[in-house]
Amino acid sequence: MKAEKILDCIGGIDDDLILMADRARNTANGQIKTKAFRWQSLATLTACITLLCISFLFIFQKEGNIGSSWGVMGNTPANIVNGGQLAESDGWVYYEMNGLYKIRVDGTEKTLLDSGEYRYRSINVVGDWIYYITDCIYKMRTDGTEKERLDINDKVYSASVYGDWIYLNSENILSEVNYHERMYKVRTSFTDFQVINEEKHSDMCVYDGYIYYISLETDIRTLYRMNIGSSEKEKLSDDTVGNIIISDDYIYYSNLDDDCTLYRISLNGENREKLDCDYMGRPYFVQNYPDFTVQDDWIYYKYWGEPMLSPDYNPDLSIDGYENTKYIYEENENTGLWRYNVDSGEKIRLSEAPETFLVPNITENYLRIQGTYFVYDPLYLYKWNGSDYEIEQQYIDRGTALACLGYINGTDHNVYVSTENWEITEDTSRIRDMFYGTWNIDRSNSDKHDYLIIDDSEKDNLVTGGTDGGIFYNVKDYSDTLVFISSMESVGEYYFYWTDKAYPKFIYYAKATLVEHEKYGKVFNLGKEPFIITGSKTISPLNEPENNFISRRKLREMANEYGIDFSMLVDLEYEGCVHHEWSFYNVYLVSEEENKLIFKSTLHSPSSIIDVIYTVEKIDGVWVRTISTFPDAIEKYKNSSFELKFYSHDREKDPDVLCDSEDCFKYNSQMIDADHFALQFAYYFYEYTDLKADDIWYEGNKVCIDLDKEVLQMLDMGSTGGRMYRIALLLTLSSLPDVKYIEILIDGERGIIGSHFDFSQIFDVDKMQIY
Amino acid sequence: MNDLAIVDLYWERSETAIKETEIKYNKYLLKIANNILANFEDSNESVNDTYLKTWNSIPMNRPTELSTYLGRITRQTAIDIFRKRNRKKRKGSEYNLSLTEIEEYVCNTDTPDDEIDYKLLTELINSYLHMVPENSAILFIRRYYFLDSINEISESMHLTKSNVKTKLHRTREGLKEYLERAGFSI
Repeated sequence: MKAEKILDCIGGIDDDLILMADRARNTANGQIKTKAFRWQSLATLTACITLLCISFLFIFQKEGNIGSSWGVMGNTPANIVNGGQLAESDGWVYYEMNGLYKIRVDGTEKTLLDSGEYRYRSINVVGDWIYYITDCIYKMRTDGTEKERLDINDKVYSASVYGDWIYLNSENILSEVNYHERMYKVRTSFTDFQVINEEKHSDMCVYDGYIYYISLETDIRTLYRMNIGSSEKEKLSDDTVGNIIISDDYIYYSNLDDDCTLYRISLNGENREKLDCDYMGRPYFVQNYPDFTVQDDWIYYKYWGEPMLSPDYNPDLSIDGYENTKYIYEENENTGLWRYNVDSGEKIRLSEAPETFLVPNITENYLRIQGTYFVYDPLYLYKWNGSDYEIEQQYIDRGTALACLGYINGTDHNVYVSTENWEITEDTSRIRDMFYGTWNIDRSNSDKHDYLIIDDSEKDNLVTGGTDGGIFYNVKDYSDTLVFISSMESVGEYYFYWTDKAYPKFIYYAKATLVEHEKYGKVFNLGKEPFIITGSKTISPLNEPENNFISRRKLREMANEYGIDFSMLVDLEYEGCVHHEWSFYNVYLVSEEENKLIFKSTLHSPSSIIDVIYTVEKIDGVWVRTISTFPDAIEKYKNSSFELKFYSHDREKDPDVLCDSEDCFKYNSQMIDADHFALQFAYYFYEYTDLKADDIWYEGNKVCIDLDKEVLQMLDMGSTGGRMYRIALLLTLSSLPDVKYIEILIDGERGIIGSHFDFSQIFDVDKMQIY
Repeated sequence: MNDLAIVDLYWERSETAIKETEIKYNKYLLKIANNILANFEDSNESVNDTYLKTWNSIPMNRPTELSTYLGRITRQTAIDIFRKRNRKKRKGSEYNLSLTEIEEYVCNTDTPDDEIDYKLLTELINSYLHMVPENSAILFIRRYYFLDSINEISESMHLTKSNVKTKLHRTREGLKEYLERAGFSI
């Protein structure tokens, strides 16, 4: 038979089926038609036709299934039972991240729709309406407008939009476990509120004409479903059910009668099947939320580690919960987020799972995970990149971040941190373990992703060293916290970076000032409402250093390994150019032997750069360092000299230097060693001026320098010293790469002629004569 | 205007009937036609044919659901146009894609038309769709009656594309089995 004929026959199916599907189409597209399906008129019509009479009876038997719901769901039942904090609709993803957000599936146009409420949940999106719960149920347009709330006497726990109705249950705020006393329904127009079931229950979700739930009417958690149309209830399993997830016409559940192992059954309770995945349900958690989810025959769960019977477990007690935990888990290399394919049995390890307990919400492209009980547990939104999940956004409560520092909440409402009893640490493995990585920095209201990279490549110089001379601390009484503090003393700011083992996938950053507080002594002030930036660890591999680059952390490790004083490796000085731990930093390993290490580095002053080679060698049991210039920077002046012509008193005419007349002056001449003076000048400038990087710039092949008037006085001296400084300045500038001309500005002004020197001239490096 | 009033206009032979039908159902019908033809001009043509066919047929019928009455005509008209014109040119036609999906389940033999009881086949499909879970029926009808794309269906029903495909696959398999049990070899 031809496929075309089948499609032709499908063209002849009953009106009621077409209307049902059409209704689903239109409701989903936000174009709810006013025409309603009229059972009575269909009944009248069908009653007249014998053949259709059979259909009529059939349809009425099925009326309970169809009711007036038409099957359009606001979110998947799997997500709703897991809190419903992620939904995907029409190319957009809606999610909770300390606010209600939407973002395009491709990760662009992140938009905050609503904020200020506690934990948005049961997010349902139908057409251009969003329904959600905070303290009660709300609806608003998908652009955030026309917000409307519905108050009912009970607190609402969850909501499932199904067709024209919203199915709700009550929140029992007195109970530690997830149980609810009533189910309701109300139209999506917020009218016609009705109680539909008064049975203690948990895990309520709506799917395909039924409400599925775990009945808590007896001590045994029993799986039921209730027909939406007829309210008829049906027991689906004899197992004691931990939690349920409905996906793809199956009910997946953790079986408390079998150590929380995962099972699945068909929607009608048949075809019971034990699943062979490594899921480890934890009874004291699962009573609140499932710690797994299912999407497209894949089960997503966290493998916690090797299960071991808890030494405190008492098998005589029936409770398997906080009071009597049966298993504890030891993390191993397999600990992480896994997915298991029910059909093929394939198991794949995905990214490292967050350390917190999983409450996964999943759509085709996104995964959202949060902790369960604790208000302050962090939230993560992952985006599927085709082979794994990558963090898209994350949130952790500020209080949680600050708590790691053992902060003082000042009476003046400032947050203070005292490092008085903190301990400086050089525990390299701890530092590497807790700080190294690529951290995705939270920019909650923008699409932009910033990354803080801490690794041995030091591509991002913020934490491991770079130009900062920061120090790592262990926080007293908070032994799981590691803090790195660096400073910019010139502006009096201190930068705190810290991580904590409780949430090792987060890094925090805040600015502080050092103050002398009358009550707390010398403390860091983080301000009244500290602005804390959080980053979360991504799965990106660490960058490897290039060209034998040695990070400062690595240098510290080498110093420890060889028993060398660390300052010997980083505090360098050569004829005025310096290299302090807090200053310029760039070290490459040339060679490494047991008793001899050779490095190449660069010494800077604000106006000069010199490459040096330094050797650290063990002689008679003592490490000794020698430094020599590395000739790149001043190669062209090496072994050359310049004629210095200077204008000074003619001692023959005026031996006592009393005459001011020009006749008493003459040009003198002296040969100068270029290398020596360039370094001398650099040292001078480094020590006595606050020349900044933007005081020297290129205009094509001309380099310009803008000097302070005070410096001008030094340069414009008629003495030999003044002339030497002038020469040194010009030689230094001419040693910069690709310089042909030099121009000197004074306080931003060009064309200044001094008393003893014409600064206005443009110096040609190749024909330079200085006097 | 409600459907009963529009049908009355057809019975009164008022040309306003077509205008009112167009106002209310043009977009709906164009969507069905375009799912099949993937061509705006051809779709317009089939919708215009629908109005004509409705004008000619309604005095003999009094449809209780005008939308399905019109939709069926448009669907069949568009399929007729599709068959007349080169199938290969219909890139993006959901009808074309649906055919491919169905072809996997049928023996593509040229059984003479008079040997197939299409009425019975239609009734069996009807019965089957009443038996399967509501969402499966909706998916099936959206895909093979309305010829909605997998994308559209997945987005509007909060299902992933592969979930939609899996469900359709199962429903098709189920249908084949159901028909075979009823002695209908396809």
